[in-house]
Amino acid sequence: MARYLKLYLAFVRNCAVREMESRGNFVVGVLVIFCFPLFPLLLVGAIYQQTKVLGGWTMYEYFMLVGSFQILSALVYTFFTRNIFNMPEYIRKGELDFYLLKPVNSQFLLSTRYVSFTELSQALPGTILVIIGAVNSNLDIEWWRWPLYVVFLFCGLIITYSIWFMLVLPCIWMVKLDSIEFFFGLFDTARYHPNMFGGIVKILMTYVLPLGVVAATPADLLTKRLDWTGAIWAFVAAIGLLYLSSRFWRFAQSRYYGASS
Amino acid sequence: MVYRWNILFYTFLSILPALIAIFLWNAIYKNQNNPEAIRYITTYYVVASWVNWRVAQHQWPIMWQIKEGQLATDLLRPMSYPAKTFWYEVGGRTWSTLISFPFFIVLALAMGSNFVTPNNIFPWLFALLAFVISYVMSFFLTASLGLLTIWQNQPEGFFTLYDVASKWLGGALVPLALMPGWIGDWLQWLPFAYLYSLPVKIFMGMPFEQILQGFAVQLGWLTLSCIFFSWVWRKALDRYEVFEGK
Repeated sequence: MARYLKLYLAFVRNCAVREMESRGNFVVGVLVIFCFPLFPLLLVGAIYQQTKVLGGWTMYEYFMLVGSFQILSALVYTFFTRNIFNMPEYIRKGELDFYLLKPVNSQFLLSTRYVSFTELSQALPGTILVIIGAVNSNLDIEWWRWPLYVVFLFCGLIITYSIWFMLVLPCIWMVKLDSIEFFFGLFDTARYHPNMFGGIVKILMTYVLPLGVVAATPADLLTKRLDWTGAIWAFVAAIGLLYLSSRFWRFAQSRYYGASS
Repeated sequence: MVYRWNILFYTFLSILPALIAIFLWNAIYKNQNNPEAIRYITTYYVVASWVNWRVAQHQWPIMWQIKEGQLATDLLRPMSYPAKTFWYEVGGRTWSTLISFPFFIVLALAMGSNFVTPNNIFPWLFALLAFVISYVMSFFLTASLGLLTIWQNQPEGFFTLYDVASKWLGGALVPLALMPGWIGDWLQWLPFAYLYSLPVKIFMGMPFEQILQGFAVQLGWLTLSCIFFSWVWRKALDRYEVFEGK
């Protein structure tokens, strides 16, 4: 474990040095990405012009959900986007072999090699939204909910990574598969709470493809909606999907023929 | 056809955001017992998802051509690079549209009576014309963006900002008519509304005078985008440098 941590810190240092080589690009990137979270506020405004409550959520409570989603997006894009984007290219160009030959867990290496610090700037507008929602919703949120909030965000991060990683693995069979692009469409569903839909959609978003809970569970915790089943499910889904991604990766490796074939 | 699974997979999951939005707005309007609004929003999102899926996004291929040095090869060919790029894009899009179109038909049919089609041929034709103009306009805008690679070696952030901004501000993700207050009125005058929103609104039924006004503004933005692209292309050629390889 210590060895992997040391390796990861080396990756982080290397990526930080690379990004800061071009400070102008870095600053521009941070400012540009900072603007992204502002646009979905148009949707929030449009929804709450039509109704005061949606699925039991008031506007300021929904701010906390949208803000949680933004923070989670920032984490996903910072730690995993570039790595997962690169995987189909490695397969097409035969560079995956070099990763498989290294004396470390290949899934770890492929998933964590690069860190994109500019993407982290999205977390700030998300955090501001959560704070605005918390202050204006009159919920009187207890202090102990905030560290648990971070824990559930981390569960959401693991769920999101696991699903995305599994979605990109079919590239080994199909060579070109823009699963990366359509993942963003799937991931966007996490912006909404499953309760806003109800019925079969709620079940799909919660249990079949649990992207619906990655931001909803932390927001539920802050808005005092989270019950034991929801909390346990977040942990079970995170651990279960991470294990499943590992098994699926091993299966995919067994079907990979390498660049020399 | 080598990448047919890619196109099919991509199409299926590009429909997903439209489905989610339809479910969301249906949940809002069902509570209000407003079937007319449900029909409006369902038709809007089905058509908008197709327009969103098919509008040209050419900044990424141009970026890669510049980064990998392929632009130099194309500049040596006895043909206009912008024209070649445009028709290459049209060819690719046409084929992927043919493969993916049945998915959108299935989506429309699945919506049942909530998906409302025009009752004569003219909205179809005008909507198609508006889409063609928006496609060309989008090509000029995104190609100009792609040429940014010549000045900025990591323009991906700008590309994504354009993608996100154009869709949100153009009505691809939320109908402009539902935007809060003055924002919707202001957004009608940006070019993005004429990329995504205008073809959809024509399909859903606009008075003829408003269609003419929409075309006039759209053609104005098309002209401006063409002029802008020409200017950026000239500047890009002045700036572009190629170093001989081994």
